[in-house]
Amino acid sequence: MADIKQTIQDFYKVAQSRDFARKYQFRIIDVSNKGASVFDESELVYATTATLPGKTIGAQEVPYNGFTFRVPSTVSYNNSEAFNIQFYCDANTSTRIKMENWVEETFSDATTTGDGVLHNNSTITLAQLDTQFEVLRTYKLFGVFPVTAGDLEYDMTNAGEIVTFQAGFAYQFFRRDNEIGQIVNKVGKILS
Amino acid sequence: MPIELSELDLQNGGSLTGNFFQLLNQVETTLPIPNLFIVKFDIPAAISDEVHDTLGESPLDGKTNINAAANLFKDAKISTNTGFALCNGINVNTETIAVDKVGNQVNGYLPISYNKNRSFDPTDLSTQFMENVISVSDFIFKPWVKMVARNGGFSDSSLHTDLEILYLERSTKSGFFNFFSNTGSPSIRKIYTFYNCLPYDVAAQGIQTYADTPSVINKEIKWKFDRYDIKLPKK
Repeated sequence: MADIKQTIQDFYKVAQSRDFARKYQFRIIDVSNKGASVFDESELVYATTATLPGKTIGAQEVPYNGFTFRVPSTVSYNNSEAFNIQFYCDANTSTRIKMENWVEETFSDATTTGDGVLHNNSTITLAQLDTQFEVLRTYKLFGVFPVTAGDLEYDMTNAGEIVTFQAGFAYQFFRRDNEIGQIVNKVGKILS
Repeated sequence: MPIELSELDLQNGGSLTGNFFQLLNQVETTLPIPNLFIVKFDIPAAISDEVHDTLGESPLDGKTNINAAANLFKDAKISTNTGFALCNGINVNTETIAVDKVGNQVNGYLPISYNKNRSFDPTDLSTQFMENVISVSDFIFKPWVKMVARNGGFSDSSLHTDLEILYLERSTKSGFFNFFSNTGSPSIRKIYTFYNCLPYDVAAQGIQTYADTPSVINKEIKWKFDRYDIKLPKK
């Protein structure tokens, strides 16, 4: 028993001091196209689900004498080709219209014009929240451009379910702000 | 205290796998990442509209606008200190001695091998460049090849350039070979330098169709050179 601090009581003590992250403690703070916010707060509050993307180091195989070692290779950002945000669709479909416009700005089939350049100030800012609704940490995705203005699924026989739609973005990389140890806020107990 | 695989193997009198594992534990003998490299060379000043016009090959002489492309690609963000950023592939030369054997029909002896000559191929260097909106292959390398063809590539040194390939590696180990001057940059694990290079082949574009899914267009450029050397940067 001696040195392993993983008993039920240990778990209870840690849970008291460190709590757990909840799935709802996450918000999309901003989506910007060339430095200008695409969605206002009334639209972002309709965002329902998104994923905080991860990073992956490739594990390069090194076979030797009947055994396979693995050494760390290069890094990639998960789902950098399709970072998706699910929205409730408002009655005027304004969020979806803004995505349509951004897609049109990126490539217009009507005029064969568009914007093929990466913009470092096209970003998505994500925030993890604490129990007091304060920002624990932010992640900013850089070099964002739209890839999907998702379908709106209507059903004339439906009882009134809310329509949702998916906005999809590609990005290059993300950077993290506010390391947890540097934050001073009302829930210092969690951060200590 | 955790027991490492290498220690286990040593306790058991050592093993082939354990020894190899120990190699992977050291920066100097672990495996490099093959796609970490930069290529450096200067675009000669002679790659210009003024020199190109003297070739007299085209009714459009004077309208090619090589100068605009050359100025663009000489920009610090594309060439100079950080390498030619549009170069995304390399294939360096082989080093070979031609060998042969004396057959076993000679007096009944066992066959023996012998060296004939060094097979030095000073045309065995190629690089790959990605296409941009302004094409480096069309506005730099094709005019360059035409000028080399006209001038013969011998006495006209103004068309030559030295091409350097810096192979890089991640390392946080202090003093590991040569570093860029700024901290946080990768190490240089080896340097190939090819002297007096001249491009002699620009790869074909290939058929592009409306049905193609957009993807990066790469062009292979082949070079000839006089000599080359390989350096291990000093610690």
